[in-house]
Amino acid sequence: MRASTLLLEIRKGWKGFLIFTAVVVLIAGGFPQLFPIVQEQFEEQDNGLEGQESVRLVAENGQLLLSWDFQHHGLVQEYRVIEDDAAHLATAELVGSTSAKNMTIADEDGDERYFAVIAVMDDSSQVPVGMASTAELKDPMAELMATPYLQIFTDGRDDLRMDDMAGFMSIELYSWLFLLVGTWLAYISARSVGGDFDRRRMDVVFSTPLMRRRYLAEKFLAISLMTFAVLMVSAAFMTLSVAQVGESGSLGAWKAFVSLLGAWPLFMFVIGLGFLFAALLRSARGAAALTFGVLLVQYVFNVAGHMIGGLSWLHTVTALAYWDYNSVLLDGVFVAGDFVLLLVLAALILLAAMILFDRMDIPA
Amino acid sequence: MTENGPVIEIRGLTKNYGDVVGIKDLDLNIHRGEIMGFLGPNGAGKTTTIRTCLDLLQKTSGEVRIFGLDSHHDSIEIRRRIGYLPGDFGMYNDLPVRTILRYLLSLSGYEDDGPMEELARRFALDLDKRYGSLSKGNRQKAGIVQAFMAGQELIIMDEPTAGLDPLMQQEFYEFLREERAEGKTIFMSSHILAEVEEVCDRVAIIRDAELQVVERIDALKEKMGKTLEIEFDKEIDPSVFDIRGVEGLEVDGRRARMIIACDLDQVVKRVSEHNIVNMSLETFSLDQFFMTYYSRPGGG
Ligand SMILES: Nc1ncnc2c1ncn2[C@@H]1O[C@H](COP(=O)(O)OP(=O)(O)OP(=O)(O)O)[C@@H](O)[C@H]1O
Ligand SMILES: [Mg+2]
Repeated sequence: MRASTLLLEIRKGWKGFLIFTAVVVLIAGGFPQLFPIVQEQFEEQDNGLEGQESVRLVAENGQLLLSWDFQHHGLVQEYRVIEDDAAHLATAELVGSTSAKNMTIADEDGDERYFAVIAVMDDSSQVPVGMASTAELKDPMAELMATPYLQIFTDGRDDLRMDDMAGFMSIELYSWLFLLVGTWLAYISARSVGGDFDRRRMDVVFSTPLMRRRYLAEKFLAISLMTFAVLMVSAAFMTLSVAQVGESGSLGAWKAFVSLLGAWPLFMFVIGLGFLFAALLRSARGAAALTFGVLLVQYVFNVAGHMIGGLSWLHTVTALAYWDYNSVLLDGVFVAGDFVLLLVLAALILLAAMILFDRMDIPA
Repeated sequence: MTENGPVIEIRGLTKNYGDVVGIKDLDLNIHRGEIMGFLGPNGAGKTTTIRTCLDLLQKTSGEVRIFGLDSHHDSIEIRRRIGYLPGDFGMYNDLPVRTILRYLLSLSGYEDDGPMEELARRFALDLDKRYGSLSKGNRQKAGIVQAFMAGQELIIMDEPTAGLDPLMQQEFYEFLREERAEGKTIFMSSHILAEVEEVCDRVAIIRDAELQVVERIDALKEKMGKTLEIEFDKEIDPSVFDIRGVEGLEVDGRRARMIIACDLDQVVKRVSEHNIVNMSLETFSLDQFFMTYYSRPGGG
């Protein structure tokens, strides 16, 4: 027998998948284009303090040594140093004044400190000399990445940075691609089987010598293949887009294709769930909702596992945790074990759906 | 393989839906080359019986053998040889009928779509239209074409003419007779009594999940004959009507009512010894016989 059910499924579904592919491609190809803008912003922030080239800040023996250069045609009466906890200096307070071109300040741990040096001229006019900050002593990107919110996405890795294309894509695209594609697949797979119940197609289909197991297997294969196409086309566009902004060194073709390939069995797992719930509920709507519910729980477990110290085990019990795109993106390592594990999981879910479907009454 | 036995052999078949009884302890044989009609009020269990035969429902107990094969364990082999028209069905709304039917054909392992095209022409069904755009009757035709297009030897149909216009119904009856002439076996449920009378060889009547009667239509027609009602001038002894061929006798004082399935002359001669006040003869149709199973509790 030919794989007629597989072919029909593709015939019915390819248009929808094409539209969905366009959406994913737009996102996967669009984000790399945003990278240079984002990177520029970070660089600006990095050397964004006004006149910072004239002011130096050094930490020494528990003290901060502030020194500056100042060239002006007028005569300087004194220098004033003011301090704030933000670069805008809106709530700045006076630290002290001096006629020298340096000042020693007590080093206190804690928030970032911003200093500004102002020259008070003989005619009492004030001329800014420049700014310096303790923040400069640290790596602002590393600090940003350490915030609890971003820790959700870094999977505890300190080499994942937004100012690197691979890290940027990890956070901007990969972290939620699962939800995007998963939601779509929950709907597609639940409707594929559940719709045949809802629309009373089961009687006609199963008056032919088609095995119920085979019916599920062919549908599963059809949707899996279309999903594969979505992932690979997206990888291709992402690769091109990354190359176009000159960042192939960070995220080349191999990383793009292999990282997305790793998601394939995860999505097969979602398709299997859609089928299982459709067989269980014998309808599309409930099955789609239930499948989406499982995805959401996985996502929440994943987030909670990364945010809440004691709950770190939570994310390891989700299938989602076994799509380790960061290994590919950052280390260039494809964890084949995870891939196989997800494949086995997907196969088990499909098998469960088959066993259930094989034995049940098809409602009239 | 009992090629000479019944095509469908149902023994003590019971199907419960949880607490609801679908059919109870049903016995029914359907023979090669016959058209068996399946009658009964709404909810009697016709669809349940049919869908259990096709293994769409799991039976609770009993046995169904089709072509001598077990309806559950050999269901794939059986379905290779069955055409089925469900009572309530859908197809893929967005696809042209031809695409859908070709898909179903290929599932049957049957590649020749000649008969499909021919059936569609015969029933004036446009195969190029999307299924979803068809009217109810045309959808039904798609179902009919689907049931017959692979030339299966056994066709099971649940209310096949629902939605067909009278002309199409006649065309369909004609088609069924041709199929029978080719040796096909047909098992069909119906609510149209005239349809059963016109095309079926035998009829099975089910009511409240239980089989009531299985009879040959021509035997029924012979038996049906007439209802005779006589009013005498005084009370009549029922033994007067002790004649072969007088059935369903009801005597109520001076009145007697009976079905005459024999020569009327015999009866008239016998009652002529008594004084008759009034007499009426009514032809009793098959319809009326069937109706007794729909209206009277407990059936005929
Ligand atoms: N899925 C189901 N769940 C529970 N009860 C059901 C189900 N399907 C049928 N029944 C019950 O089984 C009995 C037989 O129903 P069935 O559909 O076989 O009747 P039918 O003879 O085909 O009726 P109709 O002439 O209306 O088509 C009815 O009492 C019905 O309510
Ligand atoms: Mg019915």
